Amino acid sequence: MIPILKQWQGWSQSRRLYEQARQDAYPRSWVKLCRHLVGQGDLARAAEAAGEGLARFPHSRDLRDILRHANRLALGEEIEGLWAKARDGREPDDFRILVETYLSCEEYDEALKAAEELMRLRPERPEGSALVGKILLRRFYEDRVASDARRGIVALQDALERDDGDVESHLELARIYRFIGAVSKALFHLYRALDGDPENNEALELQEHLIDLPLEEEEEAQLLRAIEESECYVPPHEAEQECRKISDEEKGSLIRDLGRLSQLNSVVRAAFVSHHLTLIAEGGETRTLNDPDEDPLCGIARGFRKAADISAKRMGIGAFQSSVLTAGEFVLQFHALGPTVVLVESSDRSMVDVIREECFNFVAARLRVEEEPVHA
Amino acid sequence: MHEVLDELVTVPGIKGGIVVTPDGIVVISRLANELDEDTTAALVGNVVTQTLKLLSLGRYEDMDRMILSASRGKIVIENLGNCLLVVVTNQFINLDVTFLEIKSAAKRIRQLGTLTVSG
Repeated sequence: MIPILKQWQGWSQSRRLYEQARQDAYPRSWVKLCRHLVGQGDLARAAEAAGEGLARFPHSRDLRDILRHANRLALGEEIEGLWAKARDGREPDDFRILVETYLSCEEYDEALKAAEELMRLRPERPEGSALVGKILLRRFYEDRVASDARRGIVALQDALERDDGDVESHLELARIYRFIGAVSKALFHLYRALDGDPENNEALELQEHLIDLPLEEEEEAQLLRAIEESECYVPPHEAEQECRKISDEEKGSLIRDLGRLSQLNSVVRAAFVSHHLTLIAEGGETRTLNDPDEDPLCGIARGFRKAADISAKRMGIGAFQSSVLTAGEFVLQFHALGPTVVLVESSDRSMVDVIREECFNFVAARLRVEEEPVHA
Repeated sequence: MHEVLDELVTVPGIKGGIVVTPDGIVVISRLANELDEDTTAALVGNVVTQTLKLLSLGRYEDMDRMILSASRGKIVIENLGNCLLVVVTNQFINLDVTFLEIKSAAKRIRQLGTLTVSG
């Protein structure tokens, strides 16, 4: 009787949390629901709920972690089976499926290990290098780390040395070169792809976009470095895209939420710095500044985000997300979303976790608030 | 000091540890193959220098600790006085659990006293 009662209680709580999550303007209720479902051992529903929450709050790191974790647990046995099959059969297709499975859980390092194992077992075949290239480029599109793009391009060129007629590798190179603005190289690989498959729809579509773009004036390394350092890179073929400014409604909600953040126990001040808007809040009162340098806290927020982002990328740990810095009696928490950063100054180390959770909610409750094109 | 880092890098999720001077000179390192010690030390030195410069704009004292989370990993920097202990981890690590190990390593290195800078 007791297990049935417990099951019913769990189900009833899930239902209550789900109703709460659907109405909450912040992702915290979705996170609670997912954690509850994971605790109940219902990984499939936890993954489903995390997916639904992410559709509404695409920048929630907690929901993303839960989705990845739930998928990884659910796929554990499958991955073992795929590894065994791939190693025994040494078939490139089996390794490709294994790589895709890892990528579905965002496990890039494991995906790379699988692709490198294929390279080791079948050094004469191009598929291993091609897979390494695709994984690294996928990671580059997400994090904009120049070394990923460089290594990805080298791996694809290596695949083409083994099989010069591989249309997919030529197309992959055409895509990345178009993305970074190396138009002449993109055209070269595009025509090689069309030589192999003249009817390829994606290649034909790519050709239409590429022929109108001006040829690059800089070397590949310079283009990549500029993208890595850029706060918000927009590729040349999307240059006509308008900057998304912060609407009055968004500004109102930012002012309100930052004010609330500054009222948390032990919080001294909170700052919000983006390209178009700088806010500073203290004791629930939020002020708009014309320039981040008007207040040292905003200057620190902007300067730290840039330094941390470039250092993290070059150290090989990806794009900067957040930082907790303790300095004497103060704790500074930085939370970045693209070029935007929120900085909260507090005076009690024991409150770090509570404030971090609220900052995650603050950041995830809004989409990237603006896009400013910066061209390589 | 080698022993302290050797023990630290056996903790699951930790990719390596390195002790550097604030200006980015390697004192001792135990890093995974994919991490280059000179690059890591230089970049840590750079981010710490810039952070200290920024902190001086406000009313803050010296930095005690920095935890930097990025999409593919985390870095914990402990200020040991005349040098920094830098621990690099993967992105999935639960720092609440691992933190005690890092703090204990920092304490042991501090107790070893004056550091001799090589390289």
